[in-house]
Amino acid sequence: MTKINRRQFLALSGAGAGSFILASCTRGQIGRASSSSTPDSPRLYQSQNGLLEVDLEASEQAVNLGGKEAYLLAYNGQVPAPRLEAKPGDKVRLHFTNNLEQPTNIHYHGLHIPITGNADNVFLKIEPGKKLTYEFQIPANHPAGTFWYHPHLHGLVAEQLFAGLAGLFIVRGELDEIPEVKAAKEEFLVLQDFALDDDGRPMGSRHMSLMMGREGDIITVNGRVNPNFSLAGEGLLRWRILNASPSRFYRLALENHPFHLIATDGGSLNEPVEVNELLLTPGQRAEVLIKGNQQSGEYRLLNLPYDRGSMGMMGGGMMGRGMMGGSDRNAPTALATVNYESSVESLSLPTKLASIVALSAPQAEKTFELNHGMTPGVGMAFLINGEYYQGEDRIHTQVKLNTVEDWELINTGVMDHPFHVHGNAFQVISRDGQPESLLAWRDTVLVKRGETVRIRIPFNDFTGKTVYHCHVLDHEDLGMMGNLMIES
Amino acid sequence: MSKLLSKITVTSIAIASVLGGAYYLSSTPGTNNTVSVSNNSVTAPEAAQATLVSTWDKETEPNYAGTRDITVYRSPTCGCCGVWLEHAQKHGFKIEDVKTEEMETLKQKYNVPPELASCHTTIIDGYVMEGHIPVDDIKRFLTEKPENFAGLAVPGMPLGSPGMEAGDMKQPFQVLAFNKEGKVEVFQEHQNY
Repeated sequence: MTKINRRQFLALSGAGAGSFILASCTRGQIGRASSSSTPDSPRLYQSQNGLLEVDLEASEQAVNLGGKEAYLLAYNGQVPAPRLEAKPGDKVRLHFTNNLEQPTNIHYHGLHIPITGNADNVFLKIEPGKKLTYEFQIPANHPAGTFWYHPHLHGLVAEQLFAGLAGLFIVRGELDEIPEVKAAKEEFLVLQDFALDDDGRPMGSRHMSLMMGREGDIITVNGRVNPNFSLAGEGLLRWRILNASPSRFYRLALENHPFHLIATDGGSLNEPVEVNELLLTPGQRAEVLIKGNQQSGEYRLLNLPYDRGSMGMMGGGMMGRGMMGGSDRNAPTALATVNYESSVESLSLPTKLASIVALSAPQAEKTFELNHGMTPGVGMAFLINGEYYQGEDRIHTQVKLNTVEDWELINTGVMDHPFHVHGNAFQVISRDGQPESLLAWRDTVLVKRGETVRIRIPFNDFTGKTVYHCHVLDHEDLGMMGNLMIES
Repeated sequence: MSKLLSKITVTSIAIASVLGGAYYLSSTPGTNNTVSVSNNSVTAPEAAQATLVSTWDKETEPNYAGTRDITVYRSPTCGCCGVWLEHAQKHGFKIEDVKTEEMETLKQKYNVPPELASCHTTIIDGYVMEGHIPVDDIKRFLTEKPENFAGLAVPGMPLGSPGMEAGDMKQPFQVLAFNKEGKVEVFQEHQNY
């Protein structure tokens, strides 16, 4: 037998890859780096005169990741992808080229836009070397908020996000015009994690813990490891945070500073809510205000331990090489650092942000049971109501346009499942029968193991077929997704 | 195949540069477990695969003479544990099946290192067997009874391991031996199966 002592063994989980086996397995998966995209291309595209027109190319790209050369998948050569910004009513024309060696497509996560045609259509499949122009209009009454875009081709979603493909899609609107919010120093935080082999390529799916959902040991904020954010004089920071990791949950806390939550996935809350911690599941976003009213110095943004199941095991690290990702489970890690010179006169917080109204009683109810299990003829799969996803043909759920439904999401399994519905935001009504006090719009809600969450969802404006799924993207790729038909 | 793989030694510890010089376990090139994998992508199981034949049902330790009485602790909601029980039954094991919500406490009681944990925990002949271990590895372990080891573990739930069969998805995995002090060794590797 081969000896590994305890210390070495524990250290394994935090390491990069070192095995020739891993290297040989992952090589060729993505292919050579494309030289056609320039790393100097704009990091921000804003709409002009009611039109956001962007050329977007997905390709492999050499990227510096925490001092290490990595070969990731990138939009326009950037990880995270360029930020797109538009306003309600704007037209969006996105000329997309797939220079990956795999098919792909783009999902506009959280946007309330058409779910058919060349818009937020997850059934499109853009083959390698092919182009497609996405074209849609953001409704004039669309809420302002922090949305994002990423690939959504079933079976490849986790792999492509884990390789870096994700970017913010910001809708500017009323929230941005509130004086206190406008005066705050705005920063965007895109949280991603990566696991690289010796060649600097993303670790292949074979070697990741797909059952738990893959997690990487390199955590980045805006593509950087532990970046600095300064707060010089403004007194108030506005952080707009996206969890773009395929599986990793982030339980965030800033040393000595509470967060003043002002927005969730679907846009602004009615008023700020003070919290000491913020749990973001994959897919979720949050906006917080931070008062720079402490002594001058450095304060770390910590990622606190969170057990998302199961059985108290592993963080969902790599398989097969003794990788468990277990050693750092109980230690907070610093994701970023905030510093300011002196205690500045802190700006005041806004008092009133929006006027969300609770949705009226539903016209229909549906139940969704989430678990994994052995399925005859298939084996292990992730299931919704006992079924795994087999493609776009079978309609699992039908709803009527201009109706409101209550969906009861029941997690009977041993792992947490964040549930995401495409196209329409919802309100959480209760968790385990306890009424939800915070009135908020969301598109992704955590359903903890053993928990029952009731959401209320209006189906407005757009008919057609879309999906709902677990946003631990390996669970989605392994079957935890369903087709939703919205009929007129 | 298992016999062949059991001769493999993992001889070098490579130092990875990431995160404070952490160690990474590395196999030495030139051993007989070279892996050739043409398609690294893992996609959802195909519906077309109508039958589920497990490679693990075939017995590779026919001369095993030890006990076949095992006690398996599992969560009542564990979907895959039951399939591992069937795997053990196919190898002639007699199972006392204990369903409990207290799996974490139980694993602590039996000194299962947290980073080696899986879903179900099996007790056999005073040893602890954690997770989806091929039963033939358990038989070999109990035949050899290597000194100072408390048991075996397959951490996590690798797809393709016994009880975790998922179409043609076969993730490589290791069977690790551990003792009460937390020493861990590779007992068996399953790369291609």
